[in-house]
Amino acid sequence: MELFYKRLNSSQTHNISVNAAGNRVKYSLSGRFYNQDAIYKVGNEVFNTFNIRSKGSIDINDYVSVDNNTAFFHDRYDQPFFAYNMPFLRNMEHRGSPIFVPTNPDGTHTFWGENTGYWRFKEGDDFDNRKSINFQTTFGLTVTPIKDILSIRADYTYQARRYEWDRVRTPSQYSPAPGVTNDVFVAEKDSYHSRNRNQTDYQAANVVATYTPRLGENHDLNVVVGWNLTDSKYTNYYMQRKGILWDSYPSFELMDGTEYAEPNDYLTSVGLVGFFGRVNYTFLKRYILEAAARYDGSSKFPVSQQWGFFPSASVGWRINEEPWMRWASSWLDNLKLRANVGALGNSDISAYYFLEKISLSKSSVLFDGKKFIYTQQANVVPDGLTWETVTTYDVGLDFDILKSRLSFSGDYYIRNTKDMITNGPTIPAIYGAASPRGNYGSMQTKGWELTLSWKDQFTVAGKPFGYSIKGSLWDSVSKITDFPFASGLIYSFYPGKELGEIWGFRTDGYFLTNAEADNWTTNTFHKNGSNFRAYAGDLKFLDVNGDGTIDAGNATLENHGDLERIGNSLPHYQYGINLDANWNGIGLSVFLQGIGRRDWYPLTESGFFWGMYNRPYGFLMKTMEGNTVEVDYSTPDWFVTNAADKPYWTRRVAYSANRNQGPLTYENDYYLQKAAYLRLKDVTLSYTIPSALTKKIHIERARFYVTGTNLLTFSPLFKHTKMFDPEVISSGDSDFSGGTLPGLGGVGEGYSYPMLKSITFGVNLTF
Amino acid sequence: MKKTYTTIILAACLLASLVSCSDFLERNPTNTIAAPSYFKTEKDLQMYCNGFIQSYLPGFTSVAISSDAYTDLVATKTGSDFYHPFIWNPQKQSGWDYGNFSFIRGTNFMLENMTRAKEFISEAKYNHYEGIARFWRGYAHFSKMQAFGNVPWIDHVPQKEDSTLLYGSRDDREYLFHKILEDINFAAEHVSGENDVLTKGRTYVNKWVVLAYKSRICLYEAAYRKYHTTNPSTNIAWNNQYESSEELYRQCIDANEKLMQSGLFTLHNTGKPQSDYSDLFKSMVIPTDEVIWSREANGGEVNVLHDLTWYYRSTSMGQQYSPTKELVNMYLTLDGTPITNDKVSVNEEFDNRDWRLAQSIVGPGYQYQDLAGAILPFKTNFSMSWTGYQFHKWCIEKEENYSRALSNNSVPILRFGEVLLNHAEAKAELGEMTEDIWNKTIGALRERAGVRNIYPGSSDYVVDPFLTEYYNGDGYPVLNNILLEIRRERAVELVMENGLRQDDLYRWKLGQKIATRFQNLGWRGIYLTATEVSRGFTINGFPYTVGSGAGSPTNYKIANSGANNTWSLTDKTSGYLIYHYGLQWDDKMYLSPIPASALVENPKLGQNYGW
Repeated sequence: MELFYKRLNSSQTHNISVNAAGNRVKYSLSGRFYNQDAIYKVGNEVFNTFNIRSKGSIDINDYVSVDNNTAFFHDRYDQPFFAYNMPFLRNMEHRGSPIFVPTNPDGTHTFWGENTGYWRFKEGDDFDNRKSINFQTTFGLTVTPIKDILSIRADYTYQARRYEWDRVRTPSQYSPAPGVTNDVFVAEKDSYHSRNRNQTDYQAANVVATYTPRLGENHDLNVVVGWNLTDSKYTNYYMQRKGILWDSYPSFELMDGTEYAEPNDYLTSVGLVGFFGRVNYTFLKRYILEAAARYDGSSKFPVSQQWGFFPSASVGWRINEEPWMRWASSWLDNLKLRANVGALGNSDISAYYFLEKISLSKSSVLFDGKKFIYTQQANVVPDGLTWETVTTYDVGLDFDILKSRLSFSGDYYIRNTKDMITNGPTIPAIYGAASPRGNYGSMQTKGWELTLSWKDQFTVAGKPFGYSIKGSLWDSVSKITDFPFASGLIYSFYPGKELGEIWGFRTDGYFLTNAEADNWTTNTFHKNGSNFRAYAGDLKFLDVNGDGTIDAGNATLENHGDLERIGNSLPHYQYGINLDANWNGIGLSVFLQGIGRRDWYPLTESGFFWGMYNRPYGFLMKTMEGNTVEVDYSTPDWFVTNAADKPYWTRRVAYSANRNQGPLTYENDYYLQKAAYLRLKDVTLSYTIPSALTKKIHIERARFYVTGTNLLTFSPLFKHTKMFDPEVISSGDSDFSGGTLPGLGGVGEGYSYPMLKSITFGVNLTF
Repeated sequence: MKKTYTTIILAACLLASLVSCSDFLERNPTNTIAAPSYFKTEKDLQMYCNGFIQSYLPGFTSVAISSDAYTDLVATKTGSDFYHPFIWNPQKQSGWDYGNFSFIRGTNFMLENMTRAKEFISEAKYNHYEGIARFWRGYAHFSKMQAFGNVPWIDHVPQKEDSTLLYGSRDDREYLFHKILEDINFAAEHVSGENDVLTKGRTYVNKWVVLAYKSRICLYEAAYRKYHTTNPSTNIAWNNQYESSEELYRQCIDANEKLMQSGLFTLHNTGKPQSDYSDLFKSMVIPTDEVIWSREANGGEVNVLHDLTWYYRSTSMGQQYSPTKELVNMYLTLDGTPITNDKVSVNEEFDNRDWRLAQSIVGPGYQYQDLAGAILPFKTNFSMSWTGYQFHKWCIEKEENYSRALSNNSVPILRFGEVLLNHAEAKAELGEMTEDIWNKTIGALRERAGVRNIYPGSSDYVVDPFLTEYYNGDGYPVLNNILLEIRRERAVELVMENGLRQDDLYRWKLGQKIATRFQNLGWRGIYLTATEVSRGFTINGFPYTVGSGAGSPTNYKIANSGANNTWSLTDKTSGYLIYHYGLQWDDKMYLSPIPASALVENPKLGQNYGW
């Protein structure tokens, strides 16, 4: 790793903005440039962004004004490239033996130098370049027929995004022995250049009328009606050609390959239309009533099921405004009770999903030396498809007391999801197709959120010292309340299932001798190396259901063998803490965030956790050194020699975390990790020079600051692995895929771009 | 206020005109074809049939390793989990997920929807494509039948409401095979064999592929019905309501005769007995004089290569497939008689033997090409051989292929050699073998390998006590010499090919052989004399010494080979190399259990007998 990564890298940001305002015209222009240095020692890496925004409005007369907001963004990220299906980190984990050298004594490349991608990085002709351009403009027209009472705003937005992603893999050689003709690692015919280009064109239009009649002191009424429409088109082109003739010139025209990858050329188009209205009425400044509704249509659903109606209503009561609460007015600034019930529609499914389609593909099988084009059976479509409805019931309490120094806001909610868009119910296998996604089942989420803050200031050395502290804590638990035709399999949805639950085996440490393993409950479930039995140093699984054997039963609710719910993979008790203080131009702000409880069982391919337990040639983990069971194999009754040191890692068995029946492949409570954490996300210390001084040199405000990001992280996870960042631990959100299956699979954990600790020094100047 | 209302009404009109909602909200993809408009042209049908080839043409490892690796004639490091003592159960079993049945669904999807093409193409063309779809439907059901016995016959695209099928019980094997045969016979009649010049021996399904496949499955089921007295799914005697064993042998013979009479195929015999057999397995351009159906590899720009050599030359990639002494002993000598003494060194063992031995198993003089391109003698590696023998039938012997998927040999899925063996066996089982048929089948195969052809009925015939004991001993039904020789020939000709050895053991009801070991000791390998044990021995010129191994004073290691494996010897200090790894056989294992998950979904499927 040392050969590839730098310990430190640097980045720069420059911002500039200009504002102007006249009687009828307002305008502002701003720009930003950001550049980050490479994190690799070898290879070209460029990361920069540039953006500019212009914003202005003109009041044509007292009734009509027009405005425009236009922004342009440009991003560029170039990085060295090695292999398409082998991200660099996975490659290191698999192939980066700590003793490899990239260069032979005679200067030629070694096999490992090529196999890890070192030379591809270093020579720089292999790249993965991405750039994107974003343009967005919004025109608005506001007509105010009756000032402060009726206004109508219409706007139109056009957004265009252009994205291009090029990958080049040049031919390469290595030398297996001195003087031996370089062997081909990637032949010229296999070298390639691929280009992925996609464009998004997005249009949106809104018309909103707001009516706020004056109805006297005790009545406040606000009526809004509107219409909106969005139209988005996403086009993707992909092409690839093989046969790079000149490494530094990977132009499609300077290649000789006749073999093209199957090109992509498709358009995804989605349209949405909505009508909405809202009436808000407040009586005596303290009784608040609101009713609203939306009527939405989406092209993702079949014509007969396109439209959904989503009403909502809320009430509020500002208790402190009641005459009988005046006694408390000296310390009670705000006390409000809220309640609302509201429905929203969700159309989270891909476009065209309900259509039966046939697509063309190019074969990987040959006929007479050539690939051919083939089609296959159409996708199975759902019986129907419509909006998923999420209805939330929320009650809340807000108060501010002691001259608004202490503030509290609390909410408790129940969210019912109906007609969930999720995997369909299990159908017997001979149906021959996965049950398509559709509107199945219901889910209930119960959650709460609390925010408490305190802010105050007092005088220190004749200058005001201001400080504030704010903490937030929130959590929610989701359970499936209904799922039609539930098969009872614990890994799919069933009524009562809690999202994120982890089923696994219970353990009681590991065996110290073979004799102990032999006398334990029979375990023909886990394949340990080549055999279905355990030895000294292997996990001691518990026969939870007492049937005399360790197994997973049928993995159903009725018969789940020795599996139990051993944890939950979703984050719980999430929190954030902000601290701010300033005195005499000196400012300090601190932001901490974390998760109070989360369980994580590493996926089988989480090689940076499992190391040699995944593949015997996998990464050598520092946390395993001196903390692994050592076994004396000299007699038939093997025994653990270092039991007194209580090592964490069990006996080294190749593929035990990687093979389908491996004892570490299936979830168990021994290797279940606690992934809670507390992170010092951001600390900023700043100093603003008194404006009296800076004004002399025509500077309105001059602020110097230093910011540290991700400086400290605490997590129980680090006890057993230092290679994972608890904030980005999983590869993606798969909670709604209908539950993840146990056993083999799952690549991606721990291969993300490393979270950088950064320290930024900056200056803000305002003229 | 009036003005306000006017404005609102105007705005509403504007909205209504802007969006004619039904058009705006109806959108179609640009890169896919709407399924209801597909299957109208011949091209549509052709491309859909291509999809079967892409997804279901047997893969390289399934042709060249598959279940053959776990049979009586091959020693492996740990064998298949299925045969491990008493560990297999319905929870471990897979093969009954929706993905396993999407193949059948795909065939029915075509058969149900292709009727749209009727008005656009000729009847003959229509029947040709219907035949291809039915071939694959039969093919898909047959592979399920081999694994699970009784399996539902699915002849339409199941709908979710179709509870009689989805939640019903399984169909009886005899009915199932009858329906499979109906499909295959329809295909044999209607699939075109005309463009054979173009498609012969390649990937595409033509009449000849269908016939050769029919030959294989009819022989399989005919023998199954003959040697098993009961349906293994239920342990109830066959009811013979549909085809009998004899009728199935006849159907096999019928397919064989059509292939033989077509004149399109012959054994690949260029008069070079030392390499003709090998050409079938090590060529990129496969010999289509014999091969009927194949999976192609190509090292050119299309770059379709495979890892077969890697499997055979790696300590970790595969199971270190090692030919046993039993297999080696089945090869005749060049004069057509069996060997008389197998206690000889590998260096002499290959002398004067059926040329297929040296073309299948590493012997003296065998060479490989190293990374620098030099041709060097091949050294037997005892860390990837458990018997001292190594296969090379499928290996492109270049060092670069040992750890990378760079092998470019195409592999035969069906070939005329197998058809001849099927023909000989069907005839012999019906008692209709003649010297003429013998000469055209087994005799031709032996002659191609340089072996003198001796008809078992002739006076020159020498009985092989080893072979007789192997098949007729242990209480197995006693076979005549013709059947014994046919079994010898199948083992030798088809070793490690298309899973046929496992099929043979199962249909002959010889599953027990998988767990039977030489003198109950273990897998048997090369023979070492006491001197060779004490002073070392050589293979192909490379020296090896024998050292003591762990566990017991009569356990040995073989040094000079980097091997850490342990063996014993049959006579303690000399004898055959023995590798012991105990496997288990039980007659219920002729079928796999119905997976527990499938029974959860539909308990009416019922479990197979014994599981």
